[in-house]
Amino acid sequence: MEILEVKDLTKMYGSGDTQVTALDHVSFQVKKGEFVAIVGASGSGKSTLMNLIGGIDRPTSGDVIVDGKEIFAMSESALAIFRRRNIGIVYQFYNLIPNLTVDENIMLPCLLDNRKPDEQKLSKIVEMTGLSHRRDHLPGELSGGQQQRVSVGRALINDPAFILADEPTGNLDSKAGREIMELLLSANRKANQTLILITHDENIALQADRIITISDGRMIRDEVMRV
Amino acid sequence: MNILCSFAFHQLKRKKSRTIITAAAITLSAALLTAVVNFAASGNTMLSGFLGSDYGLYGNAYAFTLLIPTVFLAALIIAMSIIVISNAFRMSANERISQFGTLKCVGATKNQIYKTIMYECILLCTGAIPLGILLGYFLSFAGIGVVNLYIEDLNVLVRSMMKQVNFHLSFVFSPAALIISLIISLGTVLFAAMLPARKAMGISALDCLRFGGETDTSGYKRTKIRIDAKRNMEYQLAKKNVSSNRKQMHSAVTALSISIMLFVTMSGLKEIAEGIQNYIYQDHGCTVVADYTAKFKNTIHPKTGRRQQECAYPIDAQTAEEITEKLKGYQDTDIYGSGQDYSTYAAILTPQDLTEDMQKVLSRQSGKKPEIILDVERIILDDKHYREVCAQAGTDYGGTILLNDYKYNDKGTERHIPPLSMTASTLKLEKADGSLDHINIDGVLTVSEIPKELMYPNTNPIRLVVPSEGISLRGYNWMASPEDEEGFMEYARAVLESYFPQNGMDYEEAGYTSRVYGAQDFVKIMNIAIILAAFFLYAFVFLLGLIGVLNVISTVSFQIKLRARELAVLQSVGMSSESVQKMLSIESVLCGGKALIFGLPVGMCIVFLMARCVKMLFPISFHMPWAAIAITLILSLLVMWGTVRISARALKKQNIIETIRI
Amino acid sequence: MWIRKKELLSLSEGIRRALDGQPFDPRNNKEGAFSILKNDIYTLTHSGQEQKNVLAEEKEHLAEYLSDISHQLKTPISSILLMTELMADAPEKTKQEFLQSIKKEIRHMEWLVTALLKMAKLDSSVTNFHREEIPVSLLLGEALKSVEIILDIRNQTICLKNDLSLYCDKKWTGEALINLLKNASDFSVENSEILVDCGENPLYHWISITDTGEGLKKEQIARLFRRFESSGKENGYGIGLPLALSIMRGQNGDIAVSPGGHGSGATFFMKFYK
Repeated sequence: MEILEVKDLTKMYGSGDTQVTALDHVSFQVKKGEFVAIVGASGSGKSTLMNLIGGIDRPTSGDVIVDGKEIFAMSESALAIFRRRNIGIVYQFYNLIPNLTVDENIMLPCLLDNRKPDEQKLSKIVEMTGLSHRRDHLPGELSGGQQQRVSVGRALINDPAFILADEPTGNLDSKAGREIMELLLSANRKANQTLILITHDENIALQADRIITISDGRMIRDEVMRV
Repeated sequence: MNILCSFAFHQLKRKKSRTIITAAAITLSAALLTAVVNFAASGNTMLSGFLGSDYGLYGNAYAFTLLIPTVFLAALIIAMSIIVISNAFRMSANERISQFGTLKCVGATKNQIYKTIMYECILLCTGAIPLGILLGYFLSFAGIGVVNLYIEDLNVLVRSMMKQVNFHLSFVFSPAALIISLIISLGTVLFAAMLPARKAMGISALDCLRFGGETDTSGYKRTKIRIDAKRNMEYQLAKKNVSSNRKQMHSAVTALSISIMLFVTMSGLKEIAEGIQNYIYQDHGCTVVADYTAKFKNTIHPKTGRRQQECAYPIDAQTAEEITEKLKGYQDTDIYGSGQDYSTYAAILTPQDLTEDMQKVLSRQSGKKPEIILDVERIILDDKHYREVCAQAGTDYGGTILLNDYKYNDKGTERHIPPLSMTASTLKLEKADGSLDHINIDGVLTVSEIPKELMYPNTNPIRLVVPSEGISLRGYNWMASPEDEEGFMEYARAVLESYFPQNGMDYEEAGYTSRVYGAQDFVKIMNIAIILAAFFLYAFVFLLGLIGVLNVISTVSFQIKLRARELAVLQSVGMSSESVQKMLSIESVLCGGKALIFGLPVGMCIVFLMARCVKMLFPISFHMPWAAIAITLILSLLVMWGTVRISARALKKQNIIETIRI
Repeated sequence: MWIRKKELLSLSEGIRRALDGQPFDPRNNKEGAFSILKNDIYTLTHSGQEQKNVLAEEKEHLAEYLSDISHQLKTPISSILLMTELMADAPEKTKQEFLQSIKKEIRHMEWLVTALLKMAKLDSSVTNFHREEIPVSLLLGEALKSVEIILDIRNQTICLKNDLSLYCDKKWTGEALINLLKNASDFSVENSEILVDCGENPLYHWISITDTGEGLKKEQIARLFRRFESSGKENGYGIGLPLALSIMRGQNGDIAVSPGGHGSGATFFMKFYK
């Protein structure tokens, strides 16, 4: 069964003369455990696509079905809670809460649910990020790459249906970028974690199982790289 | 701790200075509210003790007098607090907008965002409100202490003039008042925080992320101001910025202008009160007054329909003279005795008898009439001074002398005119029963000749000094300026008591009363009242103004950080930092100017209107409280200068690159 | 928190239905511990469903392999048949040639069948891996035995830059290594040195093989790991790299490619996740 189904997704901004079609009837499906890279030039609509898949934005028409649930049929609060429990999001810019420690940032989705995650699991994820010795540090004390790793850790803590990453390495130097990709890849491989990654970097896209190319709001290619 | 609560806590810890300022504002607001409520409670206790628990006859009037100022003051405090506190939380929310975006993406609901801000408020309240209430109690305690200092004097004075009174404002601690103050202060602060919280929770996650650390750019309005290269660039930019109507500056300006307006109004009130006081102050030429007043009843004569007065215990001229002599006996003090009778006669006049001015006044008061009937005031004096007046008027002892002076309120100014034209030397007088009498006028005294003891506030147009034989009066007074005032007053009381025993009864019961008091005592009472009122009102305005100033300070420093990126861009494009500073100074002046332009005129208008109303009753001399206005101007300039300084300092701390990047 | 008995009963009934294989989604996405419980129940009941899906997929994969095998075998078999047909009437010299061809084809078939079956076993997770600590140098030494000849012909050498111990199955990993080395040899120029390196990071241990070719283009990388795609060079039957990938994936590892280009060769990384 598909873990994600995008059906005829369309997003338009403005009206009349100034109407812009950011996404034009995009449809595809993602299976569990797949690593999908979505590529396209800037302005092609990939960020819009990601915001819609994550339920942060609402489409003009079309549906997104996550794990069997139509997310736009839910109310905003329910969607937020669904996202908290079932989707992991990593943005390009540091998306940590500045006054929480590394531990707390990783635990954030659970904290919002007013519960603490399993200590072992948390330790495992912290170890994966390579920051076991800096659990008490604040984001301000970490480098950009380290902050991104914490973000990935946060995305993983709830065992989400899939992880959505928007240019996670865009703001990092090549070494830090590689570290992030390794982290994501290892989650994909070891835990069979579905991964949907937006990128304009070909080298990163090549590491995916599948590359979907978006241009001017339309999906123009869907290649399977490896089975 | 709940994660949302910990967010709020961290935010508070991070912005220590703003936290302190906001907490101070909450504390002040709670303190003022508590003080007002407590004062009302104490006042209530005092009044109910004084008048009986249901306030007696005038229950509603007293309750109103107490309730209205309380409600008005409380409303003022609440309005001010809401403006300021709401602003503080709005700033805090705006700062964290990108954080909220992240949270929403990770899966926080609107409600959770809302709670984050409210927790900030609650955390502050747990400390600030109890502190505020304590402070409020302290303030009201101090205030009551101050009042009590003066109230004893008040008691003594009133006792000597009217009834036996024992005003005492006691510090009352009523649990009901405590609960009311708690509820009102907490409610106000929570409401104030709720406004920006609701707004924050409504912003979509996308907007939060898109705009990073800036406020939503939709908060700007298009202005008609176009920038051209002609004039001063900084001035133009400043003008455009200010008119773009940012909400925070708006509230700062409003708060400041309210404070200015209040300050000016209070000063104006004080001026008016002092004017009234001055008006009442009459130099009677003596320091102590002893008087006798008998109870009277006004009835209508069945036949003529004229008003007539019945008096149970009149004083006759002989007794009055006796008392005069007795009083003189104390240290040989000079006594000026005089008695007035207003009710026996009325004069029937034709317009020709009156001067033109008098005719005008009368026609204004009651229209043109062919026959004018005016009440006649008959004055008898003690023997010695009667002789003096006769001599002054150039008549023999025993004549009737006309005091040809009428004092009235000409649209707020006091005017003296001679009422009678002196064409005739006889006056036609009519009694209540309709019988007529003719009196010869033997002598006339003009306004400059009339002794000051006989110049008192309200006068009839027709005033005659008549020989005292056979006349009984409702009231008679003895004026003196003894060296030993206390001793004289005691002696005089004894004398009067011997003639007119009170037997512990008051005016109503006995039918008469005699009293001895200082001539300026009434003025002194007014003085005390004015001092007390001024003290409290100024204290109130000061504290309220303090809240306003705190607001301005925190707003301005926040504005700098908010516009950090904007300013950094200006600098990177090539505007020197002195230039930027100049622009900020101009903005600050413009904002302060706005506050002044609104606050001052409104305040002055209110003062002017009040003075006009009062002038219709009392012709007081009144002028605008220019001193207060000057103080306001100086203070506002100080505040503006201060904010410019703060912004300059904050600006220096910024590093262009860092700011633009982030 | 007050939960109505009705809700508990309906939840319980739903779980029973899920056990029967029917779909059940109790999630209601509200705040509170009860909603979190519903979420967890969904995950639990769903995981069972997922396992069934995985098994179904694997069955499909096996079917694909079987069809691949039969497809791939068709060519050599028909070739052998043809030759045997012709042999009867062919001259002696041609007969010898035919025999050689037949041998070659049979060897090809044998290799094919073995490899495909291996891959099938690997992909369906039936293989048992015996993992042990083994130094890279040892692995390399064993692998070299099988590729020596090819390296000799092209006059290429292997240089091991680093050594460390990894936890893996010696036989299978060795086989993967052999395939990668063969591939590296194919792409490298003659008379060059193929660089083998190894290292470790918080996520995995790795062995890298860098060739001295011209690097790979994007389209090539995609095709590398697909079965029976031509890699542009002969000597491979198009199955070596996919087999290596299956081996690594089966051992909780992976193969990553750094394309190189602009004069430097491609690098293949064998990752052994911790």
